[in-house]
Amino acid sequence: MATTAVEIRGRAEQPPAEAISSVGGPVVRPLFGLRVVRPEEMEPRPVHVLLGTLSTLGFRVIKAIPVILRTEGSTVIASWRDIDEFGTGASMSSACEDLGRTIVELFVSLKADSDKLGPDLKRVWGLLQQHVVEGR
Amino acid sequence: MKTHEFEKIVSKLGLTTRNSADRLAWFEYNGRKVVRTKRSHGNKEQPGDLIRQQLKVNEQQLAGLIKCDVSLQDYVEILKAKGIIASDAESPSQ
Repeated sequence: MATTAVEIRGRAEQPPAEAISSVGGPVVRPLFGLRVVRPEEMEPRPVHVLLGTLSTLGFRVIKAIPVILRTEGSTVIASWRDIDEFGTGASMSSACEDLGRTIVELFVSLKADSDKLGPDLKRVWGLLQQHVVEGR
Repeated sequence: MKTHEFEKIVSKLGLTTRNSADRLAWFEYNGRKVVRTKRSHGNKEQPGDLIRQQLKVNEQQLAGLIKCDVSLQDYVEILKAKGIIASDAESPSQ
C-alpha cells in the first residue's frame, strides 16, 4: 500500500532554473516538479457523490443517483441506500461502475418480473424508474 | 461476511441464484420475488451490513441465519412482521 504520493505541479509554479541548477553545471529547466505528498495532506475521498451516468449501453440516468462511499480495507464500497444496493471495487470509480452495472441488472430483472414482485421490490422498481430509463 | 456464510444463507433459504458479474440471489415466496441480495465472486470479504439490509434482517437475525438459530420459517415470519411479505400470504408450496 502506498504511503506517499507524488504531486505533479504546473510549470508556472516551478522555481527558476537557476535555483535548481548545480553550481558550474548545465542549466536544467524542468518541465514538471515533483513533491512528496504525505497521506495527511491528500484530499480525502468524498463520502457522497451523485451518479449521473451508467456504463452499460442502452440505459441512462434521468435523475442523479445519490451514492454513499466508504472503504473497508482495500475495497471501496459504493451504495445507494434508498434501494439497499451496492457495488464494490478497488477504487471509487470502479465501485461506482460496479454499482451502475448492478443497478442495470436489477432494472432488467425487476422489469421482467414486474407483475410478480413483493411490496418492497415494487417500491424499489418504482424508485428505479424515477432515476433510470432504457434508451440512449 | 465470508463467502461460505453467504452460501449457507442461500442454501438455508433456498434462494434462486444467477451468476453474472456478481452472484445474484432472490428469495421468492408464493411465486413472488420479495428480497434480493448479491455477493462478489471469489473469496473476498463481503459487506455484511449491506447484505443484511438487503435481506431485511437485524444483526442478531443475520447471525442466526448463518448459524442454526433462524430457520426458513422464522425468516418468513420476520419478513411478514416487516410487511415485506403480506401477512395473509399462504405458505410457500416448495
